[in-house]
Amino acid sequence: MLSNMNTSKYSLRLFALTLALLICGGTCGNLNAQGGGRYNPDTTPLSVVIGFKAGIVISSAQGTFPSVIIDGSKKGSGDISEQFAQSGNGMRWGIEFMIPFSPVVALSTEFGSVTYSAKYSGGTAVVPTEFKAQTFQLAIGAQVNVFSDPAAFGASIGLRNVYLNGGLDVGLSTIHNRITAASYADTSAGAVPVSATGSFENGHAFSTLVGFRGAAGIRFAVTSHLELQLEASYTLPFNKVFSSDAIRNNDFTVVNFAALGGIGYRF
Amino acid sequence: MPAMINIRRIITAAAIIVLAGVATGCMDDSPTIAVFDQLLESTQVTNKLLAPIVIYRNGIVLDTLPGRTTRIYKLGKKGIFQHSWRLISPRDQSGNKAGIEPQAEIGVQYDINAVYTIDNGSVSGRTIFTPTVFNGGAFNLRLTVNDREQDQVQTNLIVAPNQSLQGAPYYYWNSNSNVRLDATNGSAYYLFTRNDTAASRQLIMDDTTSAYKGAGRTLPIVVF
Repeated sequence: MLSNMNTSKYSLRLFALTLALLICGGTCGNLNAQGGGRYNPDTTPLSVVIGFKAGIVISSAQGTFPSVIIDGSKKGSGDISEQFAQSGNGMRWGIEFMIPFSPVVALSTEFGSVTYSAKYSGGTAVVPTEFKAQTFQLAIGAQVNVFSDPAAFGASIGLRNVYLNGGLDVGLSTIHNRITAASYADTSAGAVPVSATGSFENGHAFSTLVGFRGAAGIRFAVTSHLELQLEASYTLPFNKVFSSDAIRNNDFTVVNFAALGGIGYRF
Repeated sequence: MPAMINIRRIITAAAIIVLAGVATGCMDDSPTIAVFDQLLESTQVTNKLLAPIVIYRNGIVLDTLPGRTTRIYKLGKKGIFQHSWRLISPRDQSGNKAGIEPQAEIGVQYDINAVYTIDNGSVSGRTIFTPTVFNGGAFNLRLTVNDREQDQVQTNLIVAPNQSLQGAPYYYWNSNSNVRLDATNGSAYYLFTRNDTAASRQLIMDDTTSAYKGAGRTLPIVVF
């Protein structure tokens, strides 16, 4: 039966088309679910899906990056204004549990990790600075299917859902961090900064970063149980990266855009 | 058959992409310490143990903090400040240490007004305890803790008749922890273990008394 689904014909086109969908952020109007297989009652719009996805993160720093002292530096690196901010690259991966309550609405929970990077360009006054961090992440939200093809459930190939997802994205803990910033050999006014790299030793420097995460994606079945998933998301933080117990009057935070792909198993 | 192979290729490609994402998303910390260019105001330390501890700041002795005491230490500086502590053991009749003296790192201070609590779980990866012993018998008792265990401590600490164990010596708490009290005249010994079926001979950590939570003391062991 699976051989009747023309997967050999669509496999490469599938990957390219779904990438295009992600860029457009729209619904798929031209891909038709390929029916013809015997209906499998085990895979329905109410079936739970467990998936694994990963992809790139593009980060945008907001606010002022605070002055830091990297071991050996005789004075701080100096606050860096948002005007010097550049986009940084990172990665995101996660295990997602999608629990439908109806053919339209589902609960989505994702455990995973995000690595993001905040960059600041150099200039006459500052050394190029980069702050990278990896966090253990929990995302929980509601998923709404704006498009659902009942005929694709049970068929071995076909677009099943186009969805929108909205909810909270919580950085439960900061696993790793690394800062590259200016370091000074002495405290004189004319001291020339050099680039140095260090890390905050423990989590006391960080707050629990919570943000609103909005996403759009598609699920495309390649067999009755296996689905490919593509998703684009945007996380807008509610609070700041660094703890106010550790640094006063600092507004540094990071906005993340992610493009993810993955595999899911529909029970 | 070709259709099946292509499904495998799709799944394999997707799996490789996902795993590549996971692999490239991992990063390491730098061994060099970074701190904020921020004035640190104070460090508060609470010692919940029954025994005194030595507080170190950047490897130098800052204070000796008595048991069940809280103190605030002023800083007023910028920079890297690493704190650690070491337990002070009482001495026995021979002048030797009668318990363990573990040392543990508290870490680099980031909070402007840091608050640290030292309790019986503050030794990395270990729990420590101090036995609460009352000698209601007629003979002097000598203390041994964790008898026949890897972290056994034989002491020359004597508990006299109608007296309690003094000094709050601490020992490592493990699944087979025990307290052995030997009459100094050799007439008898008393063994209290975690796994004893008789309630009167069980060694139990006192987690119920809120005032002493975190002290690591046991429920009273009474010898008659």
